[in-house]
Amino acid sequence: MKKIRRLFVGGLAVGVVTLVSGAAHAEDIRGVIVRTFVLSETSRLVGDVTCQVAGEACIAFGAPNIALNLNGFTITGPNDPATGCGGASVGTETGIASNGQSNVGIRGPGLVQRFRGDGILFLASAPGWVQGVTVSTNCLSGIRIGATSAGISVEGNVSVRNGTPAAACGGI
Amino acid sequence: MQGSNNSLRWNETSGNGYSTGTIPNFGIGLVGASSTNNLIEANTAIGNANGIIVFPPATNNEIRQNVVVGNPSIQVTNSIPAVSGVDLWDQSAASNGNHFLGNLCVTAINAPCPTTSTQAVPRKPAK
Repeated sequence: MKKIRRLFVGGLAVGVVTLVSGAAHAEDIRGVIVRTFVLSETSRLVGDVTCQVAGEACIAFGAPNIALNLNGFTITGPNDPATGCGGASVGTETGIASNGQSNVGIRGPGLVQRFRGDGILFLASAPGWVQGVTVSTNCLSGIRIGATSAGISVEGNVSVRNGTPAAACGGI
Repeated sequence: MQGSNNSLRWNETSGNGYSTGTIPNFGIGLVGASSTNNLIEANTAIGNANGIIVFPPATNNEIRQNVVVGNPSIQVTNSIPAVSGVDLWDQSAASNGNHFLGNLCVTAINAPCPTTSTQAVPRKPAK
């Protein structure tokens, strides 16, 4: 039997994240996220996600040895769909952050787009992986591996229209 | 990309980066002294501000069998004065030990650039 939890985050006027809990996936995610959503178990999207998190990551890993399955859905940040951020980045506004956890991964298909930082950031993680994900129109890199990460496998992804003229960044 | 012992395979990068900034943007970049012992293999980088850049501090990376062409696009080249984007750009010293092998490109700085294709455009093998 599945248990459905509804989290009203950040006040009545803003969004709702719907979590559907069951045996196969600890957390099934869809809806609007208004503060960083921390994953504690392997989880998946069951619908598109819109992020309204200011100055922090939208989704962050909170435990090692888990994965996020995008399951064909989209995670969207606040940028303009056509022009992205227009070159002005906010480095801390990442779509999905490994958050220092080891052996975490992100599996596509799925789209991570329009964040004012990186689309996907591996920072202080070893190892890790991202497969089959499309990243687009993020202000820094589509997928970035930070200086303190090692053993990250990046395979079969598509990275388009990311970057800012103020930093060494781009696709991957 | 920074860090060590990472692998990039079968990724496709296109339309990334600005050609007007003071810091080069790229499809794939090896940035910083921590970029060491990474494998960049069988990716495509097409129509980015630059294709693949190895920045000066990067060491002992292997860049092989990538298709890196059309960086930047012809409209960018013709509409932005003095734009300097290229397909392959090795900014590191030869003593850094970065190695290029079997890449397909048309323009390059300090990196080998065969214009004859040695392979099909790489794609991740079907399961």
